[in-house]
Amino acid sequence: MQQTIRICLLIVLPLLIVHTACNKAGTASSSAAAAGGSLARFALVGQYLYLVGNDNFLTVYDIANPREPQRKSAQIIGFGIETIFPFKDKLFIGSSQGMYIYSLADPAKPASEGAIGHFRSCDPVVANDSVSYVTLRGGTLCGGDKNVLMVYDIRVAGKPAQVAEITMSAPRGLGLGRNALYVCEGDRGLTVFDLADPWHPARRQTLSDATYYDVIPYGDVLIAWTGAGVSFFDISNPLQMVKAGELIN
Amino acid sequence: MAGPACLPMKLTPMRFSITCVCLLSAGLSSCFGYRYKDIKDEAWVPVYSTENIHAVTSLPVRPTTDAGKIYVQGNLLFQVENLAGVHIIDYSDKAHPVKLAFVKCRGCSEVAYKNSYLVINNMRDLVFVDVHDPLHAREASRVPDAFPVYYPPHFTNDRPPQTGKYYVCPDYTKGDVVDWKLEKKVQAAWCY
Repeated sequence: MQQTIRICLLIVLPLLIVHTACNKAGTASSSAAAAGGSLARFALVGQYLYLVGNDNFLTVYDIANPREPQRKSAQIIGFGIETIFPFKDKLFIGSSQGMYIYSLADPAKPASEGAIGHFRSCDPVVANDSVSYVTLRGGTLCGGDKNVLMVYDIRVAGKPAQVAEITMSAPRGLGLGRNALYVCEGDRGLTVFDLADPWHPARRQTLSDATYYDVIPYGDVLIAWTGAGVSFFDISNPLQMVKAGELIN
Repeated sequence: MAGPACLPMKLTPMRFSITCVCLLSAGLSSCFGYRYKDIKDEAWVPVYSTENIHAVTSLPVRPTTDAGKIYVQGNLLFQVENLAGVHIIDYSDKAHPVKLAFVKCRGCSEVAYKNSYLVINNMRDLVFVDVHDPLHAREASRVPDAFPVYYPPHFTNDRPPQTGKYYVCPDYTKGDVVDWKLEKKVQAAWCY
């Protein structure tokens, strides 16, 4: 009986952990800033490291001196926490249940600023001042069977509201560029959406030359994590991805 | 774990109490049993590599075989080699990006970077690595168990060569499993 319980836990608990999903890229306005993907479990903001491990906690470390990291706070924020995306003074946290927003007004102790639930799914998030975009992918360990891009109005603090839902094909990580949204769809490729109307992203171009997991829009460059390694695209025209190079070995 | 079999006779209060006590002690005995009495006559035991699983060091550049998460700062790109470490890439020339080094770090699945320090995970530990000289990475600090729950789904050799017997579940914080041995009188062999 004990063994059965243990074996069940060994099977069930890993299923609650998200290991798939695209990485979202932070929107770096200057190339001196740093950025991670949308699938990150780390976020570096100023001298703080925000970490969402596999245990539903948001933990904060002061890393002004990386040789002596100081843990500042830890709080349970939900269930099935998967990804974290920083934007200005906020953290957008994706979980299998929904999207959580935290304020970094006190950077050592993030404060909850609303959440919006969605059907169970893996969900990386990217956001700017007014909109957040979340991809939900079905058929994964996170549960659920829909594949969509969700658009949320986040202008009212504490009250995110869904605006649109766009059907996609197993979307994964995504990145927010200049009036452009880049969304990975695994084997289906990489699609760029025009955000001239940010509430209704419009498909413009899809590349199907590789398996795309995540992207980081970084100034005029789009860096993509692909099945084989990384690819670089020129996005000086944000709606037109032009391959510049790759490193796949 | 033993308990009374289905009782075809009438369930009087006395018999009910005895049943409860039996079930309770059976349950409790299995609680304690796993620690003191759960010895398998024969079970598989993992043999761990003698290589230090916590060593974080630079290695010469190597191919990317299991591409993972990415992080960028300026012209430096860092890509996780899932569960193995991080590739440090200079992409100043996007047409010809160049790997500078590979930072070996077992269990690595996450990466960030700030001011010449890689922020990565070594299994359950959070590690800061000084990579100002990429070919001579030095661990600068470590926060043990910053990821208290960590399940590495892609480690190899996670089961014995044959099914049908219990085995001691691998604990990858002890090292990579390089072999399995069939031993007698094995404690804590809970996996099957």
